[in-house]
Amino acid sequence: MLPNTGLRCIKMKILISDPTLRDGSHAIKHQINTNHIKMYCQIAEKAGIPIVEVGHGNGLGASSLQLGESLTSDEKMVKEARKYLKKSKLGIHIIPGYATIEKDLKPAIDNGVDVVRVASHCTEADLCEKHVIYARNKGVSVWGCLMMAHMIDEELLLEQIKKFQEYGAEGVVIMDSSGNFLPDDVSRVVGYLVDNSKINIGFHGHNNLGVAISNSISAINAGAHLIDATSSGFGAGAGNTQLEVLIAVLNRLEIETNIDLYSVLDLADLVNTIWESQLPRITSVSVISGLSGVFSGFIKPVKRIAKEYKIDPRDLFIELGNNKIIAGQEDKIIEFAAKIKNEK
Amino acid sequence: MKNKKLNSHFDFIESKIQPIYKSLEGLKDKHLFIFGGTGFIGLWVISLIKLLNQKYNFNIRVSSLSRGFSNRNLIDYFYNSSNLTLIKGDVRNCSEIPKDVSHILILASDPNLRFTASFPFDSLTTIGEGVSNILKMSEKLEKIEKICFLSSGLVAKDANDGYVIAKRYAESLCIAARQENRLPTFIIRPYTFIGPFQNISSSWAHTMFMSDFINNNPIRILSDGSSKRGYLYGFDAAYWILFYLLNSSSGEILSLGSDEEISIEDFARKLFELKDNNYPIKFSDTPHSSSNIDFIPSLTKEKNKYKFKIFTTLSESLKLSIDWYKNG
Repeated sequence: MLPNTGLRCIKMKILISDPTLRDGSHAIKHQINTNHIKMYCQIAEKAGIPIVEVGHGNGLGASSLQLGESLTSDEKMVKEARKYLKKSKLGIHIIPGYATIEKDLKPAIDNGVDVVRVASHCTEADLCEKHVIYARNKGVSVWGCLMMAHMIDEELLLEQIKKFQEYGAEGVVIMDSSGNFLPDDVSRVVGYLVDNSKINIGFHGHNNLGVAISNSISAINAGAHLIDATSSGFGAGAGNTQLEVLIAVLNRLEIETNIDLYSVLDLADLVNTIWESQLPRITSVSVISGLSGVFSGFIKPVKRIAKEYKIDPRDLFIELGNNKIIAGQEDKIIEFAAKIKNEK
Repeated sequence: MKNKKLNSHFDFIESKIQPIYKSLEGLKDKHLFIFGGTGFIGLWVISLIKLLNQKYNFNIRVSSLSRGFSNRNLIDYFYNSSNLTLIKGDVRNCSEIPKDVSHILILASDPNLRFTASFPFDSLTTIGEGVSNILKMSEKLEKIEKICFLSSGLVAKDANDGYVIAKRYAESLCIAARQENRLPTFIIRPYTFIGPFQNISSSWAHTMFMSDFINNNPIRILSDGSSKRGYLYGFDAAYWILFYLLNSSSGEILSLGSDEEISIEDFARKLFELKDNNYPIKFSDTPHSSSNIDFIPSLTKEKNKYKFKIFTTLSESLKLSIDWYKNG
């Protein structure tokens, strides 16, 4: 018997996109190797995961001293994943500025990427125009991503979505990069965007406040077409929406994803085995990160810099949040750490 | 510049205009001012006028204002005649129209909503302030016979985004200028056009399909493919604009497009038939149903009063468009 959920999506196919091998990279300082990719992709293929994303945590081209250097080059990651993903689509995430068309996007597409997600801060979709058009003209599926979506209201998000629509994107993923949203926020925002835009809406959650699964279900209830989820929540900060839990919940709600639950549980076991000691979890700092609305990927550098400056990382997060520091402004962490130190 | 491609373009226009060119003889020795003469419609109108001048000695003079053009070689080719003058400028700041101008075509605005999405202020003021400025300048013209504002078919629909609101406002200005200053304005509401000079990286379904086709990609449909459109070839659009410029009544509102409706999916299949290889048509994994909105003009008045007809079939339009884009 179908629970009376009032779901708008009950007959809609929900597309699951799995960024474990991309967002999870943040949790291990971007030290994913080709063997990890091989093992993960083999089971993901068996599980029927529709999209498997690989790359540096901040997307292709982001490997650097500032953001963390990848153990494995983008090219190797893409090529390795491509070997094992046949029915599952191979996805990448790029942030224009870190990634350029010639250096990163073109070779990735040439190496067989199926889905390109072009991300910007939630107010800056204009930066993605050339990358979206390039990928679109190369015949791959293109999605836009609006990061730190909690920072602006839904009317302003809609303006940005319309830009992606006109650039030719298939849909736009609303990214709760700092895990700040609560389920009611997601219902309101995603519902408004689904009702008022002409392209698909996706949702990418983080678990800083322990509500990533609830948020993802709220997004589905509100009409989202695509949900991001990672095995064991392997991702930046407190982790992402936990894939195996999400699939179990969707099974319980009788929402079809065509994903094999047992294989997804095997994926979670694999991730637990490989990265047991580094799996993200909700900590006092990640709660503060979520509350202050700061990008989840800041947790490791904030902890490191707070230790170096002998200040409370929670104070640093709150200062960063008050100053609306966004992903890509990692160099500001030191500046605000020094400010807090001086004020003390 | 690929002369073969342009020769084919003009050969086609000549073959189509030959039986009907006399219907445009009222334009002989006239001076037209075109605002936005380097876009899709602008270049088609210029193509037709160029041919009427060369083959039938129409001696039409054109002054054309445009603020930017991406393909300089192509633009130079079209404006290489002493009768055709291109002026670089912004419709909002233009201060004077030559005194002997008899007909004005207002085409300035980019119907590709990508521009409006990224530059809404610029886009909307070009439409609103641009039309206001043109109408004020036109009050001083003693020989003005007709002013045509190319609006948008979306105005007739239940659409309320900034672009459409700006077009509605500009239409209202044209009507007001006719009422208050007796300016001979009329409005054309264009629907979906197809053919050379369109930017095939635009986000319209048919340009995306053509881009996929040219780039040897599978043709991808992002919606469920059921919404319907009618596609009018650039030649037909240019001919009817000039015809209405001569024959319409002041104050009239006319629709311009094709009412031969075809679904997005069937359009893709028709395009696919032109392909030698076996690329499939692919649907999105999550087709968006709200894009299922038909966009077809009602042409009852145009057919009854002006005997509107379509000269270029859809199959012909597709083949001509693909040939144009395939050749660079």
